[in-house]
Amino acid sequence: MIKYNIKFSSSSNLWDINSVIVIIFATLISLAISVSIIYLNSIRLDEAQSIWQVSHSVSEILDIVGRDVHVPLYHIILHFWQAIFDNSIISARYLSLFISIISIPFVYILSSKIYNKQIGLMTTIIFILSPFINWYANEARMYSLLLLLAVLNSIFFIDILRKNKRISWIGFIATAILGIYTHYFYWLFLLSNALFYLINYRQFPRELFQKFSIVGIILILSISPWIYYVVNLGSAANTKPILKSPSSVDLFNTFSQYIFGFQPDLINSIILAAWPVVVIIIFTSLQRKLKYSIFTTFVAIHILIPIGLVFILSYLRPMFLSRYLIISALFFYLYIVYIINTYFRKQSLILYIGLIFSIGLALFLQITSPYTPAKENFEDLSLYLTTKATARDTIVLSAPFIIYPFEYYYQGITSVETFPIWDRSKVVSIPNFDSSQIEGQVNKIKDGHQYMYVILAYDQGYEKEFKNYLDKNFEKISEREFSPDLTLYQYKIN
Amino acid sequence: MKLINNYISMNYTPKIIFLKNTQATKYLLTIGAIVSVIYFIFITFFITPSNYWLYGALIVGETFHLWQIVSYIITIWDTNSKNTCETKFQPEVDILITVAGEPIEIIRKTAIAAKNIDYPKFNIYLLNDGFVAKKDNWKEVELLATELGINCITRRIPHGAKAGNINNALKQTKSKFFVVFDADHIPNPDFLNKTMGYFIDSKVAFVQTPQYYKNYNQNLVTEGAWRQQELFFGAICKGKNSNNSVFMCGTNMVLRKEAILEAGGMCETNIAEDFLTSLFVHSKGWKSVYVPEVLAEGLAPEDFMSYYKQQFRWARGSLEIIFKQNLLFNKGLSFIQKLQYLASASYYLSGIIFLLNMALPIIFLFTNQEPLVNSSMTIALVFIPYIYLVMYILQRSSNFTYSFKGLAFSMSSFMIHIQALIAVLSNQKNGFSITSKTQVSGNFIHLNWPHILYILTGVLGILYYIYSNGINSSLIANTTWIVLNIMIMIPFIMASLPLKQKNIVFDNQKSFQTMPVSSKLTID
Repeated sequence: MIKYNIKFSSSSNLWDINSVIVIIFATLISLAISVSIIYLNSIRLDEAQSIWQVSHSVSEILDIVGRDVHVPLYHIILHFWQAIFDNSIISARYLSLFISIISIPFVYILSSKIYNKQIGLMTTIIFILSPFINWYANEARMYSLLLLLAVLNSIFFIDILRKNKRISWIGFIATAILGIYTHYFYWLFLLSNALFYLINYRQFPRELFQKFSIVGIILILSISPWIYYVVNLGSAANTKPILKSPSSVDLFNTFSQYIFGFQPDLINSIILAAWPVVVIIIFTSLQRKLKYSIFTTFVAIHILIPIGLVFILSYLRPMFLSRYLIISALFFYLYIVYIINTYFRKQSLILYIGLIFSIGLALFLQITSPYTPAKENFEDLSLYLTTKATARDTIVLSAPFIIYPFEYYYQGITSVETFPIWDRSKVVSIPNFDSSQIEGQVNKIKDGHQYMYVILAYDQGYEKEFKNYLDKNFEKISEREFSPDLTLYQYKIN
Repeated sequence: MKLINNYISMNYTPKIIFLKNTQATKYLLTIGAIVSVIYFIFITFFITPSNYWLYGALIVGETFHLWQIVSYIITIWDTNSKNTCETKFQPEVDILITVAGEPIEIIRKTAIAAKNIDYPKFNIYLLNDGFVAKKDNWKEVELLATELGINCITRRIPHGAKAGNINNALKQTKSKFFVVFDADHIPNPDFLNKTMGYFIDSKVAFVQTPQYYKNYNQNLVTEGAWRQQELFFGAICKGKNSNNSVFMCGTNMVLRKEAILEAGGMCETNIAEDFLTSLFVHSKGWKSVYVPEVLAEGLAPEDFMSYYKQQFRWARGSLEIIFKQNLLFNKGLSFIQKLQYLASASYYLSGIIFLLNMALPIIFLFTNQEPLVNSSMTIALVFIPYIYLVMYILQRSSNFTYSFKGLAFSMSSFMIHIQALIAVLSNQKNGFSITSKTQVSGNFIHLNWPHILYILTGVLGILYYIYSNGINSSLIANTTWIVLNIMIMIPFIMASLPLKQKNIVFDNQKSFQTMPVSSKLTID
């Protein structure tokens, strides 16, 4: 019989009739919201890349994903999913939605195990309404899978600490292996688990240390073939936007996005300006006998370690993106609900209502507003050019990788180029920008054409220089923004 | 009350909880100190000043906060120190109950409880200052003493307030040790057995025990007053004990007569006589002991006016030590004792600092002037971990008893502290006033005019800014700060309104017996 020095919340009887009704009702709401979003939004760059990548054979997928600095599990699943259904963006999004819906009861189980059923329910409701979670529940990317595997892994991890049963170990190892093949950042999640365990290792039986060490070795051995494979590929594809080193604004944006999703700059700047609210929360959360339980440490570590570590490491190599840190979002909700639950009943009720209202409003704005910054309206842009541009014109895309989402919709007859010029049939990587080549490349593109339609998005550091050159040398006929940071310019070139 | 956390101890007892488990880990305290210093350096040297006057005000405030945090961390570094105690050491003791017009029933309870103390040899004295304080019931006190068979010393010539009362008694009592109880502090039977043993060390001058308010849940005032006391009599006094710098708190204390006389008696020149006397005692090389156990139970000020007067008296007395005693160059005190006295006394400077801090957002709204060039998120990045850590250290070191209400009462007392500061600097004369032991009913909102004025000015500032600049992120940030300040003031303002009594649950209701014994009257 194992003796523990710490107290665990009771995990028995998590499912009473009220909880089941609330979870089912909330899931249906989530489903309704998501299904409407799936059809609403244009394909985005990342999604277009997913679709393009999984349209190849499995061995080619491994090659492409390996060069794309990702791990292949999601792509392989999506490959077979699309083989069963169809290769549209809608079907790809349904995979993410399916995974996200499956996550809901597990989010409830995890948060109830960590605290209690009340906190579990509230966290699940916040999770369902969260504009951030909704965004990635409807995106043809691996983030909903990443989150599901983290939730499952956490449940097994807590069960191990509590019961140390074989089934929990099997689940823990399986989800960990799947997780590390879903996204490299899953390692940060595992690191947080390890850190939590090491901080508190005295409170658990000694045998766990040995077993966790063995699991660590298993995980390293599991990822080794892939690492060997990637190293042998030799080079990265360089088909992604270049990231900048993060600032403090990016850091707080991450937390803001976790709660309010992707909001236009004006709203976002107001949200960020209200950061002293955090101080209000810190002050008012001073409650008598509010002791931090061991699992509050668990929650805090899963928020602070991944975000803090990536933020710091991004000064060496920029990689700070809120979606990579989606696992921390869930723990952030859990922490907020935990804090609210420590207030007196009336206060917490008011705060819950305020929070749910704010999140709901943010979700509504995110869905309906054309200014939502993460929206990329390639669909309207492509349709516009399909009707507007003729065979005598040319279309130039910069940065070059936006050709993926553009191509997905574009049905026109106009020739399509990129700047810098990128011949995908010959080279995998996008050529580097060289300012001395602007004139030569533009002359090469413009030859024999009347109008040049230039689409600028995802500034890679040369957008301004490129546009200045065009403005200086050609007559600008029109300009139209299709979504934030996606603008079309029409120039008369001959 | 809903406390849903499953990990909360179900044996929550307000009387003991603040005294237990107050030792925060050294790692936490070290990290707290480092983060505070980093924050200070960052805000002082790495953010470009905007308006230099406001920047100066901000830096003064931050310097003070750094001092408070670092001195607090030093204070609570070790809250587990133990002193030598020999329970068989049981010399004769005089129990002095200071009286100055308190209701006779309150005095009776205290006197009877004193008589019930389980100890071989002690004498009880009612130090009756009712006559000199022109209280109607001074004669009744004498009759009570007769009724209970205890001694009564009634002063006829006023001098030195409570300290003078005690000094007067010391001339007429003979034991080498004496205990001081306020009239409303009821001792436990084991009070002397738990305290006298420390005097086996011949250098121990006094033993202080906590001042516990058994009426803490009577109304908003008693609750607010108690929330502040918890931190002081918990981690702070326990920490001071390890530095031999506990100071007397006026009641529930045992003193060695020799030490007090060597220090010149109880100090009569300061309205916080206990604080200054402790300083003189320590500077003569005597030791002090703190016993972290509730051995007597008293009453918190029951109405806002009484609370206000009590706080003013403490603030003025403490500030006088800063401005009128040469603390830093006192040769008798060790470095750590100087630091401890300075830390305790300087707490009452926080009022002016809080006022400076809370004025900044309002100044911005009216003038567009701010202390720092706007780099709000960078400041947030450093400020949030800093304030979180500081609050967590407060929580941890109070064994999670420190609450927002305690913080709100401390910060909202800013005007009391400022008034005390003005009184000290301008040499105003303030008489010693006894904290009322019965509730004075009424509306004391007028005492909080600065708070009301702040709220009105804040609202006006917001409207003015919207009118002249529209809604932008600066408005939101400064409005949020104003909201925080107002939230801090709300419990304080509420306490100044006519009070609603809660269901009173005292922790340790006692039954009292009337003991028909002879009495001895001593009249000065």
